[in-house]
Amino acid sequence: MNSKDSKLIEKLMSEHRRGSLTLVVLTLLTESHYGYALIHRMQEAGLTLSQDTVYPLLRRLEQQELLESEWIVDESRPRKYYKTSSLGRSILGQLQSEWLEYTDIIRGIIA
Amino acid sequence: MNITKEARYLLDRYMLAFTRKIPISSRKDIVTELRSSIYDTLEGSYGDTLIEEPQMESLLNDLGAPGALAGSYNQDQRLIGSDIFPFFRMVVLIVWTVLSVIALIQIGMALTMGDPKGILMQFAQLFSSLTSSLGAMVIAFYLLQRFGKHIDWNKEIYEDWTIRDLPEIDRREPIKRWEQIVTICFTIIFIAVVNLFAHRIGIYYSIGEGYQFIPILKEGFYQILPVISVRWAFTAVVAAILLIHREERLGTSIFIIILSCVDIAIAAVFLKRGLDTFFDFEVLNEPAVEALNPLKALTPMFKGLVTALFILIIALTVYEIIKKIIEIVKYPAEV
Repeated sequence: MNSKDSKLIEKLMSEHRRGSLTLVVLTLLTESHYGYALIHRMQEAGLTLSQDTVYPLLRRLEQQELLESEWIVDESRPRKYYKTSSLGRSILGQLQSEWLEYTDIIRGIIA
Repeated sequence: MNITKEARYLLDRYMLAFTRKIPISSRKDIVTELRSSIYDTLEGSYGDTLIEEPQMESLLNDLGAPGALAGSYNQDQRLIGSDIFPFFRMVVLIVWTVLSVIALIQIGMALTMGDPKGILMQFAQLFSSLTSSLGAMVIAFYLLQRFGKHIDWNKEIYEDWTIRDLPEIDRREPIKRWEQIVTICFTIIFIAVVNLFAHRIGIYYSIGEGYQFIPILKEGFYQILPVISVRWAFTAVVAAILLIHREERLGTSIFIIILSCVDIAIAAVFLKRGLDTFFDFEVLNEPAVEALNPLKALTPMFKGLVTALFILIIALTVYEIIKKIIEIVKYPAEV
């Protein structure tokens, strides 16, 4: 496989992940986390993502009011904690069931 | 967590390069969060050990080019893609700055000459030129993006990037408190003296036992004096802001640029109306003043010198504006 192919695969995988990432983040952030802790939590679950993917996504979800945030400054350094908002929680259940249904369909196609 | 001075400097350079590419509106939030996250990552990777340059370099290399990292925050632009957006933003910034500076000078001139209709016209023209130039640039960049697909816009910021390309940190002198206090005091004294004693500025000469006085300033100068006074009052305001913040923030820099444009406008009004409107150069030819006789021949030269001085003021102010704009772009405020 040449570098052009691997770049293409990387790009396609990145697009694929991006679609599902919102669901992962909204689910994990039902408990409050700051960015680094969230990345660490995802890593523990087997999902390795870089900061340049996670932080912009957190900002985007916050702008869409699916997340709410709070700066905590009394720790060793200022940290921005994120939590799924009530709007985020209200659509999370629907997103999760849609996702499970979708993966079943995809599994059926590629099996 | 302990970080060596060299490693911290490397991080500061990275953050500076990153900050330049981040939208001003969300800069503080994004930059503070990223810096905090970098410290968390270092702590997670190296624990309590001293962080040296190689460890920092390795982490920053993992983060990737600052421009690319910043680009990931700017993915909402659709008409102009994120690949080309940094170039688009740079061109818009340059064009808009030039147009705004020109307009501000014209507005300042209209203000100084007491021409309210002219001021409104200039504002309307500024609005029109900003919107039409933006439209033209969007079209140009859209076409460039559409027909220049083979160009790898990000080659430089993604692939050719190395840690050694990071910009140097701002080495400007910090704001000195005493300088601002002196500026405020002298500005207030200057405004008071010029306004209260302007009519006493002139040439004094003795006749017999008494003194005679010939004023140098003419009616035109007194008409423009309120504008000059207000302009100088703002110098004291700027000094007070610097005194409070102990640093030059973006808003202050923009305010200084606007004041510089007003300076150019005032100087331009002096030249446009003719210096004779403001100053009485013929005072040197006053026959009663015998002491000035040797200087009479120098009157035209003196007038030329004053004209040259005003042109020099304009040139130096333009230079200062350009310098200030470069500083704003080169050393954006991190928080």
